[in-house]
Amino acid sequence: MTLGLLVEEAGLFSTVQDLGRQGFQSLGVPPSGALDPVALRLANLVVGNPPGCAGLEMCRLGATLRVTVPSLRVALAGAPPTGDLPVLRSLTLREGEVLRIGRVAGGAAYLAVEGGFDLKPVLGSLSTYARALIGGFEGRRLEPGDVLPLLRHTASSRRERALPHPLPAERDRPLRVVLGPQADHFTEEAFDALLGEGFTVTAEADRIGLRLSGPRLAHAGPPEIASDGNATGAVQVPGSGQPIVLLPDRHTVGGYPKIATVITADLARLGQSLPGTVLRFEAVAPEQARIALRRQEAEIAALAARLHET
Amino acid sequence: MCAQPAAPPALLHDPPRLLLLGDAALTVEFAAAWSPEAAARVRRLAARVAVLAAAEEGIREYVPTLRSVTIHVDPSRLSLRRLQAMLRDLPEGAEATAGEATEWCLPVRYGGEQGPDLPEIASTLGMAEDEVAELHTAGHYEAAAVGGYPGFAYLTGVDGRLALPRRASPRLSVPEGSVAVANGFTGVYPATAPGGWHLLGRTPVPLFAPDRPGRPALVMPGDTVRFRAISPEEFEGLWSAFRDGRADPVTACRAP
Repeated sequence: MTLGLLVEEAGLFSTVQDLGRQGFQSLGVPPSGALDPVALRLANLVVGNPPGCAGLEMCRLGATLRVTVPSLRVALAGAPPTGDLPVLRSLTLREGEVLRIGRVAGGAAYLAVEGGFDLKPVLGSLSTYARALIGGFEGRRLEPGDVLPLLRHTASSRRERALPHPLPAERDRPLRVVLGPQADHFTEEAFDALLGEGFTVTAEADRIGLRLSGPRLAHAGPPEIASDGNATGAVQVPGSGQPIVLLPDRHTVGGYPKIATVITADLARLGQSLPGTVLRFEAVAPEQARIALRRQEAEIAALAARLHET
Repeated sequence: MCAQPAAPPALLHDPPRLLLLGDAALTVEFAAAWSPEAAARVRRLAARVAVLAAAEEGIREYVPTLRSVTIHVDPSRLSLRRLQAMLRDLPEGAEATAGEATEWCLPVRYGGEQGPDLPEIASTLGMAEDEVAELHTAGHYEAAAVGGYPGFAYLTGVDGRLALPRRASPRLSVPEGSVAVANGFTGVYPATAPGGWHLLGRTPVPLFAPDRPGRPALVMPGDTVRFRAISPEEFEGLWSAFRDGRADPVTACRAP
């Protein structure tokens, strides 16, 4: 029997994800990867992994995992568990111990394991694309009884480490977007509505996208285009006028006009959106997107410099 | 006297439109819809971007579509403004000698339960089912783009009579390998998925296999495809041969 992490309860939608699959969109394979890539990087930092090491992403409801190796060091990041498990602080579990994560306060929590999972990359990545059964653990979300194989069977002997705090969540701040690429397919009122009012994330929310409900975004012409390239964060608007924000398991190309696209620095925040969350959008110039990303990377570097032993 | 350059066809954007897709992707759009001219420009730009991408680590990947090329960048390494300048400054003729396009010949069982829309198409066109299948096998198709599903190639070059709009009501589940037509394209569903195209038949060839070395998607952009009709018995035989490893699609389906 494989030794590793035995899944006793799988949670709602738990998959192995790294920072995404690159280079296969031209074959129709989406990037996938962590909904909140910043959280995955921080979890890896705390257990001493490279930032892009694959971890376990758990959407809304965490898994219950039993350790079946002699010892294992782990760290949680992203949406914090509502129980008393710490985030951004490593802990070492012994054989037989159970990590019960339970409900998490946000869209996605990440579990990094020291050394990483003993899984085979598919098309250069360990990210799971469940729709096509690619990558991760058997290409799918976890189920009770699965055993995630581990590269290390004993934790390293160093002290536990922690970060002082997560990056500021900035929940109430609007998501910054660059308008377009199909800006000319929408009326002026559509832009006023997009940038003026809030949109609620509906229950139709998964790793492919978030369907929003709010003021109708009116097209200036037909609500379809000949398919063109998609990107994570793109806000596409079908004929209903109710937008869908695309997430990492999106199609590589799509036939709905895209009114705006969320900037890279705000994708982690977007990825944490839960049904019921109200999203607001703010238009920025590409140069501002660049400054925002540089600032975010500086904040991550400053935080990483405060990694300390406990 | 030099010959006057031919005027670009009216449907092409000249110059192409540069569309920002956030801060990490740029779409170079040649036209609002597919046309042979747009496809030729897409191919040419993709070959030029291949040269750029080999030298510039900030370019993550590029995605040719039926009418545009989307270039994805790492925004912390390369701004879209700089990418636009690089595209402008690309010397003419700087094109990668694109990997040899492959010519495929895919076996198809037409009609019956494998091609449930064949009778309706035949009666619409006033033809026999065999004649519709012959119309499809007579074509010499080219993969203009791959996308939508992993390994789904949009094949151009469909006989005008088979250029039907999509079905009024899409099917919730189209079986893997279904060979279909819609909107002037033909294609093969690489996996069982919802879909609105008209189903003519089914191929036993696995079009997408992520662990197939060097060829996860059998048909890549620029490849050419022909179809040949096979019997139900041959369909069954090939289906199991490809799946239990007795036959390799890459060698078995390469056109002679």
